[in-house]
Amino acid sequence: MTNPTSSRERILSRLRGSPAPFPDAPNAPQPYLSVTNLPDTSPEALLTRFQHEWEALKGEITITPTPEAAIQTVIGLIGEAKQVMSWEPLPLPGLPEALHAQGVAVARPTVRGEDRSGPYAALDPISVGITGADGALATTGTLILNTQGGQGRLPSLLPPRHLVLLRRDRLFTHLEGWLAAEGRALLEASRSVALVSGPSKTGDIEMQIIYGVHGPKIVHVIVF
Amino acid sequence: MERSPNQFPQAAQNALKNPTLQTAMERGTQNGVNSRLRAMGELPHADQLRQQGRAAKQRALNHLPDLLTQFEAQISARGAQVLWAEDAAEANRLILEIAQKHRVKKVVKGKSMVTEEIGLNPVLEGAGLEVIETDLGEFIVQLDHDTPSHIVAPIIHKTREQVRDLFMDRLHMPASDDPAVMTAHARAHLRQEFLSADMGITGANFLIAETGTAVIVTNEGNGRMTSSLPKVHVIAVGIEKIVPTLEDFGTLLQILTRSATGQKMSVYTHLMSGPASPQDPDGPDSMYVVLIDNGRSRIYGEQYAEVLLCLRCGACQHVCPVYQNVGGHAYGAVYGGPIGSVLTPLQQGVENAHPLPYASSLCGACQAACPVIINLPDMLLKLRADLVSGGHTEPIMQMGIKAWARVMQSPRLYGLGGAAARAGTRFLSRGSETVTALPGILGNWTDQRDFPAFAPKSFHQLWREREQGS
Repeated sequence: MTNPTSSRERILSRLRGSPAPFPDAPNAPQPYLSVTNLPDTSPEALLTRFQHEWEALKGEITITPTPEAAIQTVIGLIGEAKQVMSWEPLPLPGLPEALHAQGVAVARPTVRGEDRSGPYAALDPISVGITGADGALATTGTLILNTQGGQGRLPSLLPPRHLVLLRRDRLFTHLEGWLAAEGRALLEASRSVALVSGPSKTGDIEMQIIYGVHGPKIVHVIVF
Repeated sequence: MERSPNQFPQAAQNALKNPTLQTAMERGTQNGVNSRLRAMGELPHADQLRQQGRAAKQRALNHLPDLLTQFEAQISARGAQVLWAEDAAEANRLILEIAQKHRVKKVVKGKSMVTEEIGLNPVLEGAGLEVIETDLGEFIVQLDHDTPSHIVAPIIHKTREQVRDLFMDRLHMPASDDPAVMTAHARAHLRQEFLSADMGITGANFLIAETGTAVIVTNEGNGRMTSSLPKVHVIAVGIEKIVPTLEDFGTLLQILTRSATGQKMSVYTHLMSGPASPQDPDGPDSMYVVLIDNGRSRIYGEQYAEVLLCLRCGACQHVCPVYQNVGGHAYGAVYGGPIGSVLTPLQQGVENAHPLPYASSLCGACQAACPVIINLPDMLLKLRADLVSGGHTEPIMQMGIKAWARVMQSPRLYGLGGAAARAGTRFLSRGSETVTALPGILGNWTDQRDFPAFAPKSFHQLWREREQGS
């Protein structure tokens, strides 16, 4: 590939040769206004707001009292499916064993390198993906999926149903709060972070909303 | 059909007489207007947020060269390769070379206006590559050999019935005009393309300089799939997409999605800081970021730098009374509506798009809707001034203005002219208060609208009568 440094230099020198176009631009505010706000940031209020926003986005959610109950919820949601794909490890200890006891095979897909169409075609029929979430944003109903290491992108991307295990102590108020608290460090460490607000949808045909275009049609959050 | 910005007047006429287009535009633009009003209206501090977002973009442009090199250094340190393209031809050549280096046969694309702007698809296809648009709207556009007519709603000009006919014809879909059935059919078709593609090309909505992160926002998930499944990911992006900090990004992302589609956040916001690392189980092995200038650094140094603040949300298109009626294709360029009426003359030369600065009633709805308060009406007026000072106006217009100036400088000619106009319009209005058809060249006015008949007596006459009466 020819990367003509001359184009880089020419573009930069044109930009540097012009005066700053907005000399009167205000300085960065201290603090920034948040787009959304939540007066009560108690754990209960955060969970209530997240649930409200998530359901408004047509996401599904089950709030469970204990990790054991969360495992039972996952087993129930998997239903007849005999194969799932998931992260390794999952944030819910005991879940792989429980799946095994139900006769459910768990794929932990690794697809890198040149020839991908064969491995992808083999994974495509799997109808359920199970992942954790790094956290969630209450005011916008948003899951934070940090995909790196054993936490791949495929389980939250390919199957039509996505089950998400969310610890109740991982709720943030809003995007701005998460970016300040953890986002900066995470973006330095991880190559891919997806903020997911509900199931896949489109409004391209006459702006009528249809769910499940390319990503999962059903995204079910299990809070534990 | 070959489209050109200079054919706007005729294209607009045709659009107004096209009942299918009128149906589609009415269904689409009202929805877009309402969802933005709801999402921005629910924020009590919406105007302060717009100011905050505008200032963030202004600071980004003030420091643009340094922020670009900061972004480059950050993302390069994680293994992405950053390439710079001065114009469309160079950008296309660089992307084709990437494809050839990696022996790519099939390319999937996420929705990207900048690749429309540089005309990427024909270049790749001309080199024997298979290129598949994966955004549902862009896929329909590609299937129909059409072009997108709106920044975020590419097939706003099509009715569901047209999509039905297209899918039945080209994808052998059983008859249905239910968008759910049509979408499911497209999904199944495109899934196979995703799984077998060698390279993904997306745009980017933001480049965060501080962390070296490219951000793509989609609702369907095609952006995340395009950037995750193939072994190579190419991000084609205009240099003005840079933002300095995560705080600036936090504001701009949310006023973008609320203004574009009325969403608090889009379904997928994909933050990409490099190719997959050696420990990652999936994701692209190689990532390239092609920073595209294509006229932006020239505009940067001119009085129109304000246009580079644009987030490409499409809100100005939805609210524009001209766009609502003629649709995006009439503008004859990649970007239609108010933002296009400014961008197209700047990118292609004002003489090659001379009707566009006039394709506006200067009502100000675009600026009122803009999440970063871009002064589009002011730039349209400045472009009109450029057209006049550059001599790019109709000779008849120049003659008319000269004649008018002459009359206005002579009380005698002014009085005579007024008397003639009064007599003429009173005659033509046949006793009513409006003239529906003026004769000769003046008919150009009444083709489009009525002309009010002059009052029976002029101000001077009334004044004289009042003086005599007292």
